[in-house]
Amino acid sequence: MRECDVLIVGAGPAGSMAARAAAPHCDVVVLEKRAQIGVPKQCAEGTSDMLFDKLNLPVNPKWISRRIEFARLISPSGIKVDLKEDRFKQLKFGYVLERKKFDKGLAEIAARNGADMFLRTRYIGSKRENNHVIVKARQFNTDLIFKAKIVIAADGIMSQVARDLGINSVLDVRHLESCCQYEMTGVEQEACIELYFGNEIAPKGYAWIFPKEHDTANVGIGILPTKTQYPAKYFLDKFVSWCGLQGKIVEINAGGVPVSGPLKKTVADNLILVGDAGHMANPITGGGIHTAMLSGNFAGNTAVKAVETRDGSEKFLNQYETLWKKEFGKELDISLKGRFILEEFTDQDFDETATFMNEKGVGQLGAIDLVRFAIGKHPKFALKFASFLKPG
Amino acid sequence: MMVEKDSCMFCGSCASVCPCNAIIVTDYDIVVTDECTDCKTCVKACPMGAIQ
Repeated sequence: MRECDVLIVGAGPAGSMAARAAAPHCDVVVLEKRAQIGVPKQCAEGTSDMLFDKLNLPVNPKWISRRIEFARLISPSGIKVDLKEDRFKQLKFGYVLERKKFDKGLAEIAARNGADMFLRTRYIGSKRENNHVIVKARQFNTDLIFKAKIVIAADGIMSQVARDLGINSVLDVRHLESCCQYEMTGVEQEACIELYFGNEIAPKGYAWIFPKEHDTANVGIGILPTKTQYPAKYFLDKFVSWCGLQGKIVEINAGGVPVSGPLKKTVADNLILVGDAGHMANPITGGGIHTAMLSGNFAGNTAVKAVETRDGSEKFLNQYETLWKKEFGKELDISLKGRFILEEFTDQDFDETATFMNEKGVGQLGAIDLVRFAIGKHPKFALKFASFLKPG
Repeated sequence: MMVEKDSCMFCGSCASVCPCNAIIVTDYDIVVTDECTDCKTCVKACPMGAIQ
């Protein structure tokens, strides 16, 4: 049996950031089911550039596939709205990463900080025992047992760790954005991410083109599967031919994004949930790298304190919830309300909103303008708009 | 409930919504346990349409 202070399940950005924060101060073990970190990607790879300053993490240029200067929203009939500067920053996309290099880079930092990495190690189960957690895992053909003071669940949307230790992490299928993506060549793009809206194109979701190095791009789609009878792949194939993309597919990705807003409870005795395991993706954009890394960092720091004070109780670990809620709780709350408004949009609503945004000049568009627009054009949205904008 | 393994991307969307915790997705395999009640929630969730 291997004893340790902190055991982290999953070496994605959330797990590696937790390990990076905790490893210099205590004995940290990381379990990763895959033999390679960052493969396969389940992500469109867009994230915020300001995030790295916040985490005091120098950006390795190799992690960046493409710098993004603005975002373009495209309505069902093709009206384009370009979001620049402040409006763009709100979307929290500044880079399109190369996740294979990025995830691995973060894991290397964690390892250099002293974290003990177990790759190709499948988490099997865990149980609490006298203020410790006993974790069973299997590396290659060998069973392993760990005894940890704190377990950090960074095992993604299907968090088995959370379930085993008493937090129901089952995602209601109404809050799953089902996604499929092709990485394609021959997609020449400006330094701009494109988001396509419409109920025919992507029911209750959106399609995206995120440019990467040279002429490659991530072309993907997310849909709410409860609102349609066809799977995400069907809509992606339709989108690719509708756009007239002639390039070749060089990678296929699929995955689910939790758009429920964060779990009510992200800590329990000896347990902290981070990133997708805590359903921390932004419910409108689906972006979850920034919240994964920030929550991972908070979790690592909190775990160190818990080890030092020998208090792994839920009550003590609650300070982690306070930290992440202060950092991005409001963003997720507002976005969830926004998601529910967008879900009621007809294609005509998307078109009219896009026209309004362009007429008004997006840069000058304040909250009050959107409320006036809602009341004038769409009385049914007025109240919802108001509640959506209130916290901001 | 049947998984067409040749179409599966092992992304785990199905496991994340399974109310019975009956689906185990590993790196390159997917297993449906006896806990399955055939509720078909996973059929909806699959991005690839790989579950019938």
